[in-house]
Amino acid sequence: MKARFITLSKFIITPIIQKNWFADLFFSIPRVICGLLLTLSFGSDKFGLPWSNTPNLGLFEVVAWFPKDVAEYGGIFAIAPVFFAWMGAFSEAVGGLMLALGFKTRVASFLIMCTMLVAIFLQKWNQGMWSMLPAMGFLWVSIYHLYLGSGRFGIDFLIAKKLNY
Amino acid sequence: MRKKITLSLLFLSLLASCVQEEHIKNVTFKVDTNGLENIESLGIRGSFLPNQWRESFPLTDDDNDGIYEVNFQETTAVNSITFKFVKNGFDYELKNSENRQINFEYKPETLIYQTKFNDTLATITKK
Repeated sequence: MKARFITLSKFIITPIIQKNWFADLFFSIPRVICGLLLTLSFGSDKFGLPWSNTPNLGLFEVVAWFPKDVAEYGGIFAIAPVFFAWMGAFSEAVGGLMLALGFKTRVASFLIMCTMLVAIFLQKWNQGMWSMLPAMGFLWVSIYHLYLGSGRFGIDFLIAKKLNY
Repeated sequence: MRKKITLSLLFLSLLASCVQEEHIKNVTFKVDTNGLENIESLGIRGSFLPNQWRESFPLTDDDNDGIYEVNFQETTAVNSITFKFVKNGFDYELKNSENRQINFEYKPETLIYQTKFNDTLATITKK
């Protein structure tokens, strides 16, 4: 069981490395920018982090309006709006930080991908293409980093090096 | 199994307490329209209304003293609201001025906002 867990952890953390370091650098640019945008703006507006600008928002708290917004999506979201709102906000704020640092990149990418799919199809769908663009941008970046991992320019690369050698 | 259920319940209870606290805000707007001509109705448009700035919410003058009133009660965590009053459904006041604003404290509050139409001076009374 423990061995399986370690194998899975290694698999999740170990990034796919490009032949040339320059390609890794090139891929890391949108990852770092999107991660920073998520953690410094989109995410921290909804989720309490030390750099959040939302007034009266405690550390690790989700902003009050967000669970109400999530409940309006209906279905399973109406049953547990606080859970989904907290997870969505956490994915953006903390997941964005992880994505920018290249730490547990695939886990962060998966969380961000799920959040962006919900945002596109359940929140922004009726508001037109322009309104969907930020969520779509984050979705594309998260999808290809779900496959690639952090590349050379991330903490995962250093962890994977230690784990594998 | 029992341990898993307990942990799940603990996790859910932690999440329930991880939402920003909201407080009830009871705000009454009183707008003096005495001296204004051709006034048929008075409304308010602002950031806190369901349709925000797109639609007016009506104020009423039941005792015909020229002072229109409306009361809002909402449980919220917002720290400020911005708004303007609108005459006859379309005619905005304070055309070249900033929106009116009320800044809230982070606690339950009852406020009365009194002003004249198209006059930036306003009195906010806290109860």
